[in-house]
Amino acid sequence: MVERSWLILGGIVVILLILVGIGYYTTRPPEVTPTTPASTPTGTPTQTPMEVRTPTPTETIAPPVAVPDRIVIGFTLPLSGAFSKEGQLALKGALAAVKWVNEVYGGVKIGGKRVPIEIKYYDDESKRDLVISLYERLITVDKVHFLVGTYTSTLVMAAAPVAEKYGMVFVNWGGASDLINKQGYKYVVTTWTQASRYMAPVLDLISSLDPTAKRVALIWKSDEFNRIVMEGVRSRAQTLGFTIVYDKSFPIGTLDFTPLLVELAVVKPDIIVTGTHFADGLAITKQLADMGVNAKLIAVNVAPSVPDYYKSLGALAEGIVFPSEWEPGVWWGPDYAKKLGVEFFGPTPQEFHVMFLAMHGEEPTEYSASLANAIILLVKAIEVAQSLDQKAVREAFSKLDIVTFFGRFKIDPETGFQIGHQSVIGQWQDGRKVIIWPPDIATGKPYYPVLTWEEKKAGRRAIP
Amino acid sequence: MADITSILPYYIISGLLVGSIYGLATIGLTLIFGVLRVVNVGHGAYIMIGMYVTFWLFTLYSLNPFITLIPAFLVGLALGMLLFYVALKRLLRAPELSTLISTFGFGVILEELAKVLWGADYRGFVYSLGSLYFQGIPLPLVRVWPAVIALGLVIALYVLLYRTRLGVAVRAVTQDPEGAMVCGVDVERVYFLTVALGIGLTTASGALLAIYFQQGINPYIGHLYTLRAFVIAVLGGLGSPIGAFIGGLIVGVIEQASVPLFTMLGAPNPFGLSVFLTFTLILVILLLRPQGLLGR
Repeated sequence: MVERSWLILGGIVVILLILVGIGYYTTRPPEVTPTTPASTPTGTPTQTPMEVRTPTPTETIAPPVAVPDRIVIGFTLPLSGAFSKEGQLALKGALAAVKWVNEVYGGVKIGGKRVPIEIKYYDDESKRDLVISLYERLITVDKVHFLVGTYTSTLVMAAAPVAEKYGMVFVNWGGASDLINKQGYKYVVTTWTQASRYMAPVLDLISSLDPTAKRVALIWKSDEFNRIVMEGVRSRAQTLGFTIVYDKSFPIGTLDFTPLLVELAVVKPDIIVTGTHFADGLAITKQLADMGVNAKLIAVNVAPSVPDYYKSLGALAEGIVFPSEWEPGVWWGPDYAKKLGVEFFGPTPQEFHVMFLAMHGEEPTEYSASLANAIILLVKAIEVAQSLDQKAVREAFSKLDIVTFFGRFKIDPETGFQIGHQSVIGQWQDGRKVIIWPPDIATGKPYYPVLTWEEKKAGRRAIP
Repeated sequence: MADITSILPYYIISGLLVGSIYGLATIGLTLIFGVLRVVNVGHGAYIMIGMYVTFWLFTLYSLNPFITLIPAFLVGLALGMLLFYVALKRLLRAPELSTLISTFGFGVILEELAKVLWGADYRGFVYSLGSLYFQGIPLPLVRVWPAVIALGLVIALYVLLYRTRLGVAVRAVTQDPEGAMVCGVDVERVYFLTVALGIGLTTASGALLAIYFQQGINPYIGHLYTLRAFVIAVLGGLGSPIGAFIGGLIVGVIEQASVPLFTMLGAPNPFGLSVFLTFTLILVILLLRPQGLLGR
């Protein structure tokens, strides 16, 4: 009898679990977010320009401007799995960009009309194989007009060849690896400062602060992104006369960094630069604190730009320095454009910030801003091209030299490498992220040398 | 780095500390396999649950993380009972693939449930107790205590298995279920208790791991430990809890101590090679003793 009651109890639990699962899947965000003011049924676009889907781009005749009633932009995002945090943040940015283009700007100016945009996206679950099949689907089944990328280099590396195969413009906003633009792709346009230039400004910062701090230690995850980030740091170190006193990698999935940190304690570097993503960046910071390994400055890649980093570490995060493609408070506005002598396009940083805050009830992050920026740049390129032809839009991207709220955009016409945008360096100061480099857009002074772990544990804050 | 050899003892101590937690995190897997011949493919999910129990009780109620070990263990016991009555009991005589799929499915359900309840964000907390010093290098107490507790739990398990009537029954069922049944052992009850205890120890190890590493916890964190647990279980001899613990210690020491050794040999990527060394050693041990170190 006991056995039967257990069976019934177990059955009830299983049924409950299934119901919770069904509930979750039916209430999660829909794959399609129609955002056109005058909505048309979602699904396949009513009019599809025939010239965009040919596997090899045709070049000869300039196509007539066949203007559809909306322009569909397709992409995947890691909304679940290892990169779900970044993916979810990015999605909020995409929604903000669509709202700006359709409701504030009034739609894409093409062929004498204003055409609204629409996004079509799928959850790629942080899996490369899914990325490939979903981009195929976006192109062949959903017949989207243009593609933007997904988040993180490994997934972008899977998506880009699919776009290339079909000759589709692919705006890469979330893969920083230099390798992406070294494959000879013709249609991949990158908006981010690439990995090799991403973290190197940390050394410029130190040079300006303390000419005596010359001994740099590098600890990095042996993945594609961090390997290239470190190549960039090494080469900048050489240029600026730093000495690399320690340079070791750790395998993906490492939990315990003790072997490296013990060596680091022996080496006693002035500056520690770690190449990480979120989870290992958090773990390495905590373990540096546990082992009491101090330095004049500690720079951690990726993790600290996510607010959860401070939420998890509290005071231990004080003074930690990090690179970022963009942060709220980085006001690359029309003034910056004027200074460079180029055009400004899109919402101003303040407008974007206010709109995002009103839509989502939280500040935009690097990831939200990056995807929003990619969509806004795509709109600009379509307007410049005055065509939905992939080749024409790709050429328009090559000609663009403009500033958006995200910063400057200028690519190498051949490779699609980003050469205009620059990363910023931030620091956690008294529970807030402060931009400390480059000096012309800094929102605060650097706190240097950083507090020791003992001082932080005693409750001291990095207030310059 | 000439003085790296002189701190080799530190690395060994550090390896033993982490190894004891690895060992405890494996015991549940090997115990269940030993008694029921069921491989719990969803093992990592229970570690994840243990971590969340500690995280939530600490952040919401400021409960001492070491005390959260008890609720973590109890949650594990309950999940183990559920797993047994819902899935395993009816599959004991089914082909191995059935139990494999059902334990895998149970793990996936737990992970997805965790995601629905708590989201996919990484969550972390900070808990410090100060440090001991060994060779002048700090040995954080948040690492020493979990290791001591893990050792205590393993000793308790040893006493349970080798000094009590229940332990005799468990070992009897492990060796010959039919023989044990003939002698009056309630085999099903032994199965039930073993699964509950195995999962309980696994969630408890999750709580200790959360204190030990204090890295970000998310619903998929268990995957990091599943492969390690399988490696350690095979090394120690699948089915032997004490073997799993010793296997854990060995893997921990190799992970830590091989880094300075490879550094001395001038290897370009010593940390990467430590993984290589772990697997090479396992291959060698399995060649010499196919049943694992303490396997029958």
